[in-house]
Amino acid sequence: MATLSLHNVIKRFGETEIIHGVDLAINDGEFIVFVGPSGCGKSTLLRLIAGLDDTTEGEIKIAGQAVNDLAPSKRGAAMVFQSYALYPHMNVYDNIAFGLKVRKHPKEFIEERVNEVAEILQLTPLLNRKPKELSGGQRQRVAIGRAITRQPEVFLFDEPLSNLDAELRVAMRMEIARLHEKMNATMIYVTHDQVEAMTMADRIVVLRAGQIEQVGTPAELYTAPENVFVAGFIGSPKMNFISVTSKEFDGTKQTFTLESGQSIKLPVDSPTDGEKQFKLGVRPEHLFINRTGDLNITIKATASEYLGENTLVYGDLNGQSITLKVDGHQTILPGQEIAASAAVRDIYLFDDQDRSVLQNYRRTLLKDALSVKENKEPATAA
Amino acid sequence: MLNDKKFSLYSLILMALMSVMMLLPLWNVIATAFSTNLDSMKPGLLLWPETFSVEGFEVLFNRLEFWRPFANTMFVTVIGVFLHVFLASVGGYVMAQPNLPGKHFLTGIILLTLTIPSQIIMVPLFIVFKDFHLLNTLTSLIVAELVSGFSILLMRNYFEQIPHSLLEAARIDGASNLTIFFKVYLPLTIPGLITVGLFDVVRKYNMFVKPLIFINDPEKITLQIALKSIVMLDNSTSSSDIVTNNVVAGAIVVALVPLVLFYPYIQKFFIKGAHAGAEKG
Amino acid sequence: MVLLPDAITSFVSFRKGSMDTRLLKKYAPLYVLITPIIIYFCVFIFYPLSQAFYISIQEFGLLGSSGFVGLDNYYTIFDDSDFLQVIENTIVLSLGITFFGFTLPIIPAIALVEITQMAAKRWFQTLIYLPNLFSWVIIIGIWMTFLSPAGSLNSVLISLGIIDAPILFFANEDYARGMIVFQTVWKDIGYTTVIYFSAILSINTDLYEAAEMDGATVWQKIWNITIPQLYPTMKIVFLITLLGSLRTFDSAYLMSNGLISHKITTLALYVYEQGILEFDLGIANAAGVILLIIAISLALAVQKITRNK
Ligand SMILES: Nc1ncnc2c1ncn2[C@@H]1O[C@H](COP(=O)(O)OP(=O)(O)OP(=O)(O)O)[C@@H](O)[C@H]1O
Ligand SMILES: [Mg+2]
Repeated sequence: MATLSLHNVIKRFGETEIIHGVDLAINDGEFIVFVGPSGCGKSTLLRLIAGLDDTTEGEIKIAGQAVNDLAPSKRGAAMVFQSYALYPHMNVYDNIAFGLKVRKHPKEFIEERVNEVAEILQLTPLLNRKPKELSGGQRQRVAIGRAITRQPEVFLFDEPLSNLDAELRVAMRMEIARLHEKMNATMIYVTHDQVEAMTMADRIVVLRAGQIEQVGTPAELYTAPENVFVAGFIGSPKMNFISVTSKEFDGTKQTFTLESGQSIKLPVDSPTDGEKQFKLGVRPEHLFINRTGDLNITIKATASEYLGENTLVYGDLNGQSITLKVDGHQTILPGQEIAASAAVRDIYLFDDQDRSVLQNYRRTLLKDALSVKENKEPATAA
Repeated sequence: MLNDKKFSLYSLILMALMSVMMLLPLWNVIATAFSTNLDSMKPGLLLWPETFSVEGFEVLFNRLEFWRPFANTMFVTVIGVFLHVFLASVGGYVMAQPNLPGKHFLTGIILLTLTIPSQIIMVPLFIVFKDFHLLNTLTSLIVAELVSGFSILLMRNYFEQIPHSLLEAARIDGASNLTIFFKVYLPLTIPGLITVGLFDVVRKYNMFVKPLIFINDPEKITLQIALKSIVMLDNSTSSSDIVTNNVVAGAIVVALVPLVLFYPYIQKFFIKGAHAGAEKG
Repeated sequence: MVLLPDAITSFVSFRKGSMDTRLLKKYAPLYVLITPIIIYFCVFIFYPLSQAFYISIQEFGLLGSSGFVGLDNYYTIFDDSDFLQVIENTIVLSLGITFFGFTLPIIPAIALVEITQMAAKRWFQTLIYLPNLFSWVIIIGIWMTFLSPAGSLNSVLISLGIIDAPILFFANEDYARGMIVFQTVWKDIGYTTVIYFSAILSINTDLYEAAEMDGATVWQKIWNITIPQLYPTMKIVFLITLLGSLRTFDSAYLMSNGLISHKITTLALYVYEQGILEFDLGIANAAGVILLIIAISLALAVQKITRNK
């Protein structure tokens, strides 16, 4: 259990800078998930924390103590590798015990600890087996067991479940979550899998190209993405983006026109003079067919996928691809024209230049509602 | 691959002929070794002893004291190979470390040692050994091939096959370099250790130039040198009249025995090594 | 020697890399481990090498150096007709060993691949590889027994009426070089065959099947697929054989006798005779340096030529 903080951490491999100054503070006992596209530096960041690679610049603190110059084994961190990295020539018992043995703990102590850990992870019947005699899930549990025995302050997981099949993944996910609760340890978990990120994390760190794009709880990232990247990255299927051009401002609302000619009026904080490019964002689950709303579009269907509970419809809107998630089974033929609509509260407005969010109408509306309430209350009181 | 029955048959015949070519002179030597002194000197095709006899071996061991060089070679081989494998694996372990600063420099040194033909430095090396007072000692033969760049690089290749994450896991587990080396790396590269060891067994067992140069004392000569004296009927062997063909052949057979005993393993590992060699270039 | 260019590249790229003191500290135990090995190489390889150069430009007597003589030792040996003969021997033997040593094994390698009986295949491999493990003393001992005047081969040839008097394989200057080449090839053929064999096995079988569809004959397939696909391996084998053959020592040493040694004394053997037997260190080391120069220039030349292909 410990807090962990990164201060302006930079990592270069030779000439190339891979991590460009990351600042992050992690609370004691928090479950943090790193997500981001392949090659963005998730593993690198984790390895810097573990001490497997040296930070080029910046400071890493664990429990308030700078650990930059400490060897990996002295940092109080344990790591679970994607490849498990079990010692192939040792049986499960020895794999779990290795870290304690090299620390020269007494034999009885080691035995007690290993048995305890084996109990927690249901590995007791497997203690005499070699890694190659285990299934993927069992290996994964041994890898976790090895990390737990030493009772580290911080757990680091690098895509630990990516080699498992879907069912096992769910089971292991729960197991890790349970473990987190039980041990109350600080955990950092790298994954590609959105579902893992959303379900397990206290807070998610979205990385892109060696930089943090946004840090927040799963709900925050879903409802209040700070930029196009996060908006597109969190949520599946991806958020739809529609190019619009700003038109006249009538004092409260600005009109935006789509390339197809349709237009929508949206409240804006700072009105734009003249015509400028913007992007509207709306999630597939917030587009409804055969209904009129604040934003109305007509798309030409290209394909559809029936998923049981709902159907994904892929379509085209002036060359921009649009995805809809509609309830139940819908028979949609390619080429068919579909009218879809969304409510203002489900729309995001992004700056087309720096791609940051300008208006998050769910927020705006919520705030309006609250402020209306606030305004009202004194009135009632009075 | 060519998928041709006739060609396959020709291949079989060709290889059979070639095998005879490899085997026939060897067979001839074995047959000679088990002939009587007299039979072995008679002209004629000798593929089976006329009278089975171990006279040659008796002369070899009783009068020529062939066991002594044999023992010397065993001593040098056992101790030498053990040290060689150990040092090669230490060197290989260091060279297998990713990101080791100066690794290129070390690789350069090792490749350079492989570049230099040993005959060129033969004379100065003799002087070095003289200065270290190692001439005429069996130690000189152990020292002369204590470690080689070839073996280090071979071990390095084996170590490099160990997934990197294992090393990192061990680091996080708190293992020191020595612990990682002994507890993780060595147990995982036993085939590599055996290969390097077998290569070195053959090299040490067949060592010729170095004992030729470094050793004069008849008490300390090694198997190959003793064998040379017998095969070449050296004048130094005062008893050249007793060295009949069956004695010569007997000496060869005795020298072959350890190799043949090791051969199944040697073949298994060497052929793998040759395959790897073909790929590595 | 094959590796010299790689060694040079390693040094060059080392200089480009930067050293970080923090890393140095972290890796200290590893340097401690490798240091004895590097010291060993310095004392027993690099120091003697530098001495070889140094002594070759000294007048050297029994009591040590008696002064710098520049290239005198080199002039002396090049004036010596014996030395020129030695150079000739080295080149002829080297060419013979290299040529046969790198071409002949292709035949058994191809044959081995085609043999369908697995047991036979394994036996043949085992048998032809065996002599590779033998020391030169054993090789020569075996062939001296087999080919001696009263030995099996001569006896058979005489009884068949092919020859009248035994052939003196080891005491006839016309056979001397041939015998060295023959025995070297006999010793090494198994090893090289295995290398070619595994290279052939790794050729994509689709190539053969495509040729089959085109109606190619067996020989056409060998000539147009197997051989071209073997080029990279052949290059390596050629280089290894060539550089190995330049070092020919044991076989020449063991076969030398008054009748034939002038035909087979190689540079390496000459170094030994001059240095260890005659103790004429200046001359011996000059010859050694010449051997080194020949070997390195050949290695570089061959690599250059084959790389450009
Ligand atoms: N040792 C190294 N030397 C040079 N570049 C490296 C090294 N390790 C990683 N990189 C580079 O750093 C970048 C980030 O790599 P990293 O492994 O952290 O990505 P990642 O986010 O974990 O990706 P993935 O999701 O695919 O695992 C990549 O562009 C990679 O090529
Ligand atoms: Mg990664």
